[in-house]
Amino acid sequence: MAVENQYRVTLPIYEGPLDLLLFLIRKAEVDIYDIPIAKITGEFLEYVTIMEKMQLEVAGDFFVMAATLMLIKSQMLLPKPSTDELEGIEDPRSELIRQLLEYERFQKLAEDIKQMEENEAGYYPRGLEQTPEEQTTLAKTTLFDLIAALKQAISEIEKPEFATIDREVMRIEDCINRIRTIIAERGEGFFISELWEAGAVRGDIIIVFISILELWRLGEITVRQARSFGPITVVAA
Amino acid sequence: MKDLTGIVEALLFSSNVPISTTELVKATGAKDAELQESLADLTRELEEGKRSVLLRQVAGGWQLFTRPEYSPWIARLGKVRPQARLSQAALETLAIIAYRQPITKAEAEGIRGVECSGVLRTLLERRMIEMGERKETVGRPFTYVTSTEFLAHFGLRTLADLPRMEEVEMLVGRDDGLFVEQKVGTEGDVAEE
Repeated sequence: MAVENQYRVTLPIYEGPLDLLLFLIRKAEVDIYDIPIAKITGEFLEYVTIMEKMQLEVAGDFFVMAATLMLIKSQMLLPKPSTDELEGIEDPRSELIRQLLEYERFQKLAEDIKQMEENEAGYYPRGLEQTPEEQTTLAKTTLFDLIAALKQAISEIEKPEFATIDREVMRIEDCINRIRTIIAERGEGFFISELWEAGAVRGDIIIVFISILELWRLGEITVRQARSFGPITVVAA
Repeated sequence: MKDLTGIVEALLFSSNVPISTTELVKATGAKDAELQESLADLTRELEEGKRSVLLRQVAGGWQLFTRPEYSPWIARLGKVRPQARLSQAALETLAIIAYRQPITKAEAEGIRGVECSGVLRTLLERRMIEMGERKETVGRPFTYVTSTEFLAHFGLRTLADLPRMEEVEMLVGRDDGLFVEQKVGTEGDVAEE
């Protein structure tokens, strides 16, 4: 039920992978001509994962870009040719940089166009119809701002205040008393495996064994085994 | 002839869309040069007379508008110039088409790195763009161009009024010539070898 009723957000018009890359580059305050490709690739994939988790429709374009980034990353890892061979060999990032710069310019032009529209709104031609109410225009927020905010919120939730919870350590005296109680109550033998619960750690099991050895030494109990490697039974001596 | 400037003003006042010079010539019967003079006179009269309207050239024609300083009062009357309310994606696509027209869908997608069908549909619906010629390439895809409404909506006389690419480059602060075609091996190099 929980799965079926989850929010499902679909954004028909999304900003693309180039938009995300520029966003990450600006956020990291790095030079667009010298993109730290490993870092940016990591962050890019992280965002795509978050988008998927949020059940946003992640467009195939994002996966294509992710693949391109990983290819560039691997090319960057290849040994560099000596300087005299360098000529004519392009930086694996150059095509991506060219694409980013071109896209960045059009983003800027889109802003200019928007501004032109706002300026134009001050000039009234004749014959405009009266409109009953003006719609509120909300500030521009991109999908990535939203995801960044979400990431921030999640990281704050997960930022733990480290309180150390000490594990309850089983004490030998307690264990011995427990064995005495069980034998007194049941009056019959029991398997020693009953003495530790699921999830018992090695230390607990050692304590159980020490307790049994101690009681055996004291002559309070005897230990029986039906066959070699069979379950061990504890009985009153 | 009766005062040509007066006639031109009347014609412009009667219309709520830009009137082209050709239409004005036809309606007035005046010569083109006379008409240009009248338009200049009218512009000056409105300016010097401190009138609340002004004459502007938009979308290849002439149209009267109120001055922006009066817009608050007009807005209070409940009149608002319709805004295209375009999303960021639509504005980007519109900018790409404006500067690179005629452009195919695939070419626009190449620049944005994103599938553009939905955005193109929106822009067509808002009449900001229209279909252009088919491109003579594989599949003969349609191209897209900006419309006259685009010019009128953004207050442009012609496409030449768009901010120039170089100005944008300066604003973005990149003048490294990355856009200059990269020099590939030339024939001269081959000949030397």
